[in-house]
This record gives sequence, structure tokens and C-alpha cells, in this order.
Amino acid sequence: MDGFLRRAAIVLLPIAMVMMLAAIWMVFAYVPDERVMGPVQRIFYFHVPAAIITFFSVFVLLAGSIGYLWTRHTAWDQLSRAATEIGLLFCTIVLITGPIWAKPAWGTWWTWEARLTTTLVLWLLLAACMMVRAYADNRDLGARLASVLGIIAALDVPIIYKAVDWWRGQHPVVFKAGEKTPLEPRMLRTFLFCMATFFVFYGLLLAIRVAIVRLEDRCQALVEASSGDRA
Amino acid sequence: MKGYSFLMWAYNVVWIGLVAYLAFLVVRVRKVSERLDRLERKTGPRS
Amino acid sequence: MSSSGYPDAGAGFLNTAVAVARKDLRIEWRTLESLSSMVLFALIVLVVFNFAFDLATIRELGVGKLVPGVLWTTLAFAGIVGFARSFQIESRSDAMTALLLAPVDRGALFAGKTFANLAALVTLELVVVPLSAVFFDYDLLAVAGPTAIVLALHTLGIAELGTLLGAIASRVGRGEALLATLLFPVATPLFISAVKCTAAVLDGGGLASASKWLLIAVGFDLLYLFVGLATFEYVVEE
Repeated sequence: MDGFLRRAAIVLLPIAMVMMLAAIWMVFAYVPDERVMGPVQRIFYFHVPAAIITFFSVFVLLAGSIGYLWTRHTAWDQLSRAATEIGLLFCTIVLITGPIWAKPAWGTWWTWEARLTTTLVLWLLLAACMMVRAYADNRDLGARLASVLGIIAALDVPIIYKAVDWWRGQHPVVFKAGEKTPLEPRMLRTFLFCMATFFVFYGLLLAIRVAIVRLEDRCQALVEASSGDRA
Repeated sequence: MKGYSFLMWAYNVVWIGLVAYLAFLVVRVRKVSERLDRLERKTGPRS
Repeated sequence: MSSSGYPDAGAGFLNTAVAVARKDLRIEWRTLESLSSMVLFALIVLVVFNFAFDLATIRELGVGKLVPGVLWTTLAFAGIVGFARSFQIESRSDAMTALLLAPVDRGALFAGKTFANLAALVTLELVVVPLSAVFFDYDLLAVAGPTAIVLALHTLGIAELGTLLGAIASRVGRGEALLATLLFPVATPLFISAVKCTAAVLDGGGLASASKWLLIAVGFDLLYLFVGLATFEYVVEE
């Protein structure tokens, strides 16, 4: 497993870097301006993929949580820990780029529309998961509690979205994830490429983060074993 | 034109955020590996 | 306990749940400590809200605009006081370990505790809701029926989440602050639905106008009843 993670990271790192540079070029040079919003709209190409990755990470968290409670194999929990933290990172990116886009586009830093609000609540949930894990006395307890919380949170997300959406009522649909009018081909290509870049980045971060967790676990095991020997 | 400053800020956040986190992880891998090596030398390697 | 090693047939799900609920309620009945803290806290919060929005503002905006939010925020915060205690009593003399030694369905423990918490919350509401009608000057009796339904439906959801998340928070040992941090984000859909339904009822629209919210509330309650029953054992086991 550790060898696999190392190889994955070594392979993904240069790919991620190259794709990142290519993505930046595409977003700034290749793709045309959007008619209505002008240059500011380009934030869309990174903001939306970040949001999609966040939800993907929540899905990984759900799988890891269920997997751990079902099998009690630490590998699942290690996956959950990484997914929680990286999901929180991408969620933060969404919540920062969102208002930066909103201000010039809609004239206000924040609006309680469905997607932003759901992302904010999701951020709180992910932060709570990390907190519970950190405060628990021992690792197995922390893993169990965080897994249950992860399941609660992940299942909640779609409901939160629906509830906030209905709560907002007849809110004018603003350009968020691409309007119903088909995207101009260059825009579509740029968006898809950015999406792919983010996925590669996510895979890279996940691999390294899981590797770190595994190394730390081994350290912990050695520390416990040696202190046990001494006793 | 003012749109560009927002754009710059947004991109800085994204890329600095991602790359900084990546760098942070890489540094941490190195530190934890070193700690593991030290521990293993003390107690003998485990599977 | 039968000596065959198989769980005693008598300690079935329902019996266990009822036994746990009765135990919790009996403990509470003796001192009324938890209930009185909850009621007092709710009163304080109501008074604070009165300073936050004065009566003239409420009359101007209409009862349906402000009262639902105030009411449910009050109930939620007061409820958290109760949930935290629900598990504190188990830590005394290691009662939780004793509970777990019994070969009973852990889900039944969840059901029993949820019911006890539900009963406590309902009692709280019987005091707080009429009081809010007095403080904020709206006619509760005219809409008593629909209000009761809305309260019952959403209180059940809060009780479920409070029990499950309260168990998590008590294992981590950080108490009420952590529980509030966990409960409010998770209960977001329930909270929104509660406020919307209550507003619909108070504005005279009746339950029919809030039907889709009632649907969300029912779905939410069912989902987390299931999640609680399935995962409670992982939270409480040693």
C-alpha cells in the first residue's frame, strides 16, 4: 500500500504541475470573455471544479466511514481522515472564491442562495468532523465517532441543499454551474480540462495525505510498543 | 477592468492554497519518515 | 439472564427501549434538575430576544416573521442543555458500562434515550410556547392544533439528533459547546422546515400551505431514526 501511494504521488506530481500551468494558460489566454460578466466570469473555471471536488470528497468520506464501521480496517479510516481534511481545503477555496466572484458579478459579497449556503454548512460539518477526531481520547474511538459523524453529515448534504433551495423561494437563477444555453466549445473544453486538473490534484493530495497518516500510525504503534516493553 | 483585480485575487487564493498545502504535505512526509526511521532504529523494524 | 448465552428473549427491542426511557425519566422526575435548567434557560433566551426585537417591531413585521425563528432558536439551545445531561447521568458510577453489558440491541438504547429526550423537550415546549404567546402577544389558542403537529414532528427530529450527537459529544468529553457545534449544522433542514411551518401556521395559512416542508421533516425524522438505530452502538461501545 505504501509503495503504491509513493508511486502514485511521484507519477501524479509532475502531471498535476503541468496540467496546472496548462489550465492557467487556458483560463487566461485561450478561453474567450463571457458576454454578460466579462473577465471576472473566469473564476467559474476554478470555483465550480473546486465545489465538485468538495462534494466528491464528501462521498469518499461517506465510503470510508461506512467501510470503517463495517470492516474495522484502519485503511478505511485513514482514507476518511484524508478526505475530511482535503475536502475542508477545497470547501474553503469554494467559500473564498465564491464571494470574490459574487462581489463584481452581483454587487454583494454574500448571498444566502442555495449553493453557497449549503457549502457553508458543509464547511461547518467537515470542521466538526475534524474536531471530534482531534478531541477523542484514543484513535479507535476518534475513528468510530468521526465515521458516524461522517455518515450523518454526508447524508445530510443533499437534504440541506433541497431545504435551503426551497427556503430561498423564487430566487433568480444566477449563472453558477453553466446556464442551460450550451457552453461555447472553448469554454466547455477549458472547464473540462480544469475539472480534470483538479481531479488529478485531488488524487495527488489524497495519496500523500493517506501516506502521512499511515506513517504516523506506524510511529504511534512503535511508541506504544516500546513504552509497553519498558513497563 | 476592475474585474481583473478580483480575478487575480481569486486565482491567487486557489493556487497558493493548493500549492501551499501540497508543500506542507511534502514537508510533513519527510518529517514523519525521519521520525519513523529514528523509532525503528531504536526498537527494531516492525512489519 | 438465561444461561444459554443467547440474549434473553424477554429483553427484546421494545422492552429494552421502554426500560431505558423509564429509567431516564424516573431519574429526571426525582430531581427535575435537567428540566428546570432547560426551562430557566429558555426563559432567559426569550427575554434576551425581547431586547433584540421589541414588540413594536414584531407587530410591524407580523407574528409569522419573527416569532418562529425566535421560538425554535430558544427551543434548540434549551434542548442542548437537556441532551448534554442525558449522557452525563450515565457517566456517574459507570452506568453506561452496565447498560452495555446487558445483551440488548444498542439500537434499543438509542430509541429509549431518544424517547426520554423527546418527552423532556415536549414538556419544555408546554411551558415555553404558551409563554412566547404571552411575551410576543399572539393568539396561540386559535392555531393550537396545527402548532402542536408542527412541534411534535420537528421535536422528534431534534430529539433524534440530540441523542445521537449528544452521545458523540459526551464520548469526546467537551459537553455542550461541542454539541451545539454539531447539532445546528446537521439540523439545518429541520430548523428551516420548523420555522417555515410555524410561520405558515401562525400566519393563518394552515398546514396545507407548508406541505412540502412537512414532507422534508418526516423524511428527515425517518432517515435519522434509521441512522441512529444503526450507528448508536459504534458511538457508545467501549
